Amino acid sequence: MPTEVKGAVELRKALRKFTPDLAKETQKEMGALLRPITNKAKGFIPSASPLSGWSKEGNGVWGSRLQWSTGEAKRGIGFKATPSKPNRSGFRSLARIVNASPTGAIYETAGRLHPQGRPQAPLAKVVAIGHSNYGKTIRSGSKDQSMSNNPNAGQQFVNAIDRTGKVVNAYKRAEGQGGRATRKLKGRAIFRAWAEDGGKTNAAVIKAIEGSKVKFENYTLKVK
Amino acid sequence: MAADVRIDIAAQFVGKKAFKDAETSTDRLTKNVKGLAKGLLAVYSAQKILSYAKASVKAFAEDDKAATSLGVTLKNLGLAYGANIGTVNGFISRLEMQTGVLDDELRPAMDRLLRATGDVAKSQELLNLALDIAAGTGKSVTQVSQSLQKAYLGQTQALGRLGVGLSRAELTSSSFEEIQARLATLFAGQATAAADTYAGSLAKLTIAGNNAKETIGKGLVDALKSASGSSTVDPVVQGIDAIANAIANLARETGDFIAITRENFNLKDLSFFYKDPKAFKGLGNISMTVSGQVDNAVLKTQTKVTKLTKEQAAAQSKILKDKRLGAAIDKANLALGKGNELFDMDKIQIAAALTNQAEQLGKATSSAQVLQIANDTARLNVKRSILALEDAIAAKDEAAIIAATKKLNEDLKVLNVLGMQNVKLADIKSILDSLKPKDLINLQNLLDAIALLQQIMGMPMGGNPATSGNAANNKSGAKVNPNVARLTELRQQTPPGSPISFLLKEHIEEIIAESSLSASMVDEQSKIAMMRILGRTGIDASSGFNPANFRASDNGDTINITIQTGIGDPNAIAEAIDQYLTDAEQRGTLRAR
Repeated sequence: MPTEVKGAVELRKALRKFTPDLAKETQKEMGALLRPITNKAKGFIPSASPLSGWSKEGNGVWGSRLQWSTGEAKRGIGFKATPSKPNRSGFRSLARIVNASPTGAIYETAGRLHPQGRPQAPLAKVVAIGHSNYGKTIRSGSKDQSMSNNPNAGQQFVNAIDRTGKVVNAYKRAEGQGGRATRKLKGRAIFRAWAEDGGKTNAAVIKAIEGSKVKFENYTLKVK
Repeated sequence: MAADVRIDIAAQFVGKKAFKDAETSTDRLTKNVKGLAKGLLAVYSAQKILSYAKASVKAFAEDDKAATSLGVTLKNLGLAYGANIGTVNGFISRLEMQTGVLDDELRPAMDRLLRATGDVAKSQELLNLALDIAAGTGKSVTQVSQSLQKAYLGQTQALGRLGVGLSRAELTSSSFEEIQARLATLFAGQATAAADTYAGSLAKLTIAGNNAKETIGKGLVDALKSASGSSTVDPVVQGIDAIANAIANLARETGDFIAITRENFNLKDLSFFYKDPKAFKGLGNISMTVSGQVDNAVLKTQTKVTKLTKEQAAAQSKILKDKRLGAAIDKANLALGKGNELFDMDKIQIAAALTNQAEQLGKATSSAQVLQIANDTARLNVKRSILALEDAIAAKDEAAIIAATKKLNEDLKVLNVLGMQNVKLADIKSILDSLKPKDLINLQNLLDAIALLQQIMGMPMGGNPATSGNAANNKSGAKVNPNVARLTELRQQTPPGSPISFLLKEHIEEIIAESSLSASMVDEQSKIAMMRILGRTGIDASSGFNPANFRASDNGDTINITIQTGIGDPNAIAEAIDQYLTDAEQRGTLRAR
């Protein structure tokens, strides 16, 4: 749950328009604060494939894209110090840490929703005439169900990854805070690093933004 | 997936995008609607006023024409005296308001009835009746008034066609007064009742609107008259003629002006102005006219091209659609064909019957059953071949037709052979032989080869087993086969199952068995002769064949076989041999038993 600030987007616009140097300086300052977190997160990426077969090229469209690569997973971890587009709830983040690579994302999140692996999808006979699998019995289920014939496939995968690093919850509930806690702040790399940071970087970033605001106000006062 | 794997730091609420979009859209829509409303109001108002004015003038003109026609009719009939014209017009106006029928219909109807009756009162009476009948039957006032007019003049058929409930006999036998009285009774109060309905009220409103339109139209015409300062519209017409002439003169003068301009100014000398004679557009209004013509020509061409393009696109689309339809039909036919094949009862039955025949063949115990099964199988094969040929013909597959025809002919041949009551063994044998694999060794050639070897080795020909064997065989065969054939013919002529047939059968079998025995003996002699040729000791009384020494020269080993058992007990000997072989097998010295 990010800290909500007001007027930061407008401040950045003003900084870029009137004091470009100050805008760049602020961004650099934020980058310097976020880099240690990303470096730490990169350190949580295992040097070898968590599963022996994962590093082998598979079949289909995702055959090579989902192939494990430590370098790619590490390169996918980074930060951005520019405001994002508004999300569905209308919030724009001023800075963020991302784990963008597919393999890195899998390593980050595997088992955070289904720690025991996804339940197996039921078998169903294809009765649609003209279907390529017509007459065959196949597994048919939703995204939340496993298509593997091995009922323990998900759990085995999660267990194998867990041996290299556990899922850590970076969400800290404030005192007296109600409602359902988000499950989207759990992970093995960036979320673990963020949790271990204990909110220090978050405070530093907010402070940097406020500092730039003060500097800008001083600048405008000087101009007047 | 990757979109969720991030940590947002210091977020700012900027408002939901959907709300913002909706707000922007609403604002834009409101502005557009306002602009549109303003534009529409201006255009719509002007157009409406113009079109309403046109409609008003038109309505007034039509009404005025009908009123004038009615007045002329009254005048022609000698009824235009006193207050008759006013009475008639007032009557029509009243009827219009009471019944909701337009005076555009009432005036011609009244006119028609006046011409038939020549009496204002009677016409009013009939018009009232016509309105009642029209309301009751749903026919138009014009149609009913025409029928009444005809009936008044003696033609009652038209009245019958209105469906007023009077038979042809009633219509022909009754006078018009009687018919009128009857109709008045049947349709009394229909018009008033109809006028009181919702539809009638609407009709009345329409009439009020139309009357207003006519009034306005009259006002406009009057205004035109006033504008021209005359009591008629003639000055207006004259004025329009003058305007038309003026416009024609203007065009003519413009043409002259163009000609003069070209003569006086050589535009080629004005290099800064002149570029291309074809590109010259002239000056002022002239240039506008020429460029307008060019533009119009281009526009027309473009319109034609666009139209052609659209037509081509439509044609292409249609072709594509037809192709798709054709493909779909082909696919459906293919599927249907497959379905037909699957559910072709004939084929299913034949396949089942053939399977059954095969089962029966396995269970058959006598030759008669086998023959019957062979007959049935041949018939089924013929039926199957016929179906295959029909399919091939339907499919128009030439190769398949040829193959199916060939197969059918073969099946028919087999059926023909089997179908003959006089079964020829030779023919059946030929059929069976055709099914057997060919002999790998030609025995005759082999015997000939042995004879040749004997000649080469200088052996006496008399001791040639092949020759003697062949001679014996040939001799025996020449002796036996004709007998068998003759007896078989005789047996076929006797009734089946009779004692004579049975005896003949036994006799034939005996001859065949003897023949086989002699043949096997000949074979044994041939073997012995062969062993002599190859330097082996033959198995006969004088040869002194010792099985223990047999094949001893192959590897120098001596094979001793000692059978210890009671003499004269075959079972004991057999068991001993079996035990020996079993032991050998267990030791691994015997490959197979």
